[in-house]
Amino acid sequence: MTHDEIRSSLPALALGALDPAERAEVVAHVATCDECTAALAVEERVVQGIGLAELPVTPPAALKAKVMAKIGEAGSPFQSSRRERTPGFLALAASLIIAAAAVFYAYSTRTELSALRASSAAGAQEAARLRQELVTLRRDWINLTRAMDVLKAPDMLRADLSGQAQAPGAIGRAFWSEKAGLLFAADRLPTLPPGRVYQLWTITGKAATSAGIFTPDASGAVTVTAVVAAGASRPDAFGVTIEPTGGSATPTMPIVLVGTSQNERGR
Amino acid sequence: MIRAVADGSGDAVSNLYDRYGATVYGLALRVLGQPDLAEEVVQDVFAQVWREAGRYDAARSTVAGWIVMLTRTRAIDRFRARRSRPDVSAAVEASRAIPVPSSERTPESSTIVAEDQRLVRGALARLPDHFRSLIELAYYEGLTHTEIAERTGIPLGTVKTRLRSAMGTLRSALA
Repeated sequence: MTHDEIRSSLPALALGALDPAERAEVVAHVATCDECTAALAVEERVVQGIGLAELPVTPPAALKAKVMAKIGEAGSPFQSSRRERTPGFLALAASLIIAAAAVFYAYSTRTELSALRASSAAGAQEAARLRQELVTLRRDWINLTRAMDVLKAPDMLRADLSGQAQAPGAIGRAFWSEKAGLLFAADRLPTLPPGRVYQLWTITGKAATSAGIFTPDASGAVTVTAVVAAGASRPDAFGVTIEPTGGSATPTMPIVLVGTSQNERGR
Repeated sequence: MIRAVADGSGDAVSNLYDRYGATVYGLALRVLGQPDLAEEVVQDVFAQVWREAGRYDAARSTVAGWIVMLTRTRAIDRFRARRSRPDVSAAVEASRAIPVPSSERTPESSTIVAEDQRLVRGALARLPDHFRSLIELAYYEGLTHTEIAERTGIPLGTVKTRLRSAMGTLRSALA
């Protein structure tokens, strides 16, 4: 899909009316496009407006007591979240890294901003660069938050991916939760030929569904997160292929990285 | 107020319920058509608000908008789990006759939210029936393009065009 086609699918995305394959493609694009992210926020407001347009109906008087009793049972939100899910070591480590990264980012951005204020010579270009950096930081933050959610999800499954003939040294790990999304990290991926990207696939039975495209950094490392379509079936395996820029509808063989799913939680 | 909920204040939930209980119940009833199921959704939604208040993002939506979104998701989940949908009309219509007095509205709902509410309600009412019915299938039943085409017999391309156009009309009403 082109940017314009995706743009025109945003109302349907906000409504939840996109079919799963289309939805995955649109969501993957929005994650990388500021214009579409902003446009989607407007569509979401419209969708919320539809719900708000519904006339309120006074509930039975006894309902409030039931609501309060239910909340009372749960205790404070923090106690209840501790009781419901025990984040594993990995999630704990990730949260420490995220906290440290957030402090560092905030500090370095603030230092830069005060330096900028001090120097009256700094032009609009520098301001624009910093604004762009804030946009990037916000996106990083969203990705980190989603990564945390995936790692904490009770329905999380994990797959360790290993490099095949084309990339014998490459390794990867995917974490998947229907509710919280997908987190994928890989290292030592070979440098891509021009005009090519890596594409991640979830494989259920014999069907492969795209989970998005990515380009690793110069060292061959990458970390990406993605939304999982509601009602998606649990993948049996994950695979990575090399595809033309923009990605493909079906994987082009040979597969570069592959690994089968295992239940992390054992529940 | 959401901060107070996130900090673990039961009173804050009680206040939120007073403000939005009727909105949540009205929407759940519209989706599910059965008061007992709608009541369960109300309980689930406020329990979720209680657990996840820390995740509410004021930059993304109003409190009312967030609660409405949670309600719709919960109600559609239940609707799907149940599949069949007996007797929507009677109970809903009977109970809808009792709107919430406007004096119970909050500052938020009496300004921005009420304005959105009024604008979208007006725009929905002005939509031609064959556009509005598609928005309703998507919004209240959570159907996708393909499912709507199957349900209505309208060609898939037409479903997409009409939904896009109807959303465009609602968007212009809010602009």
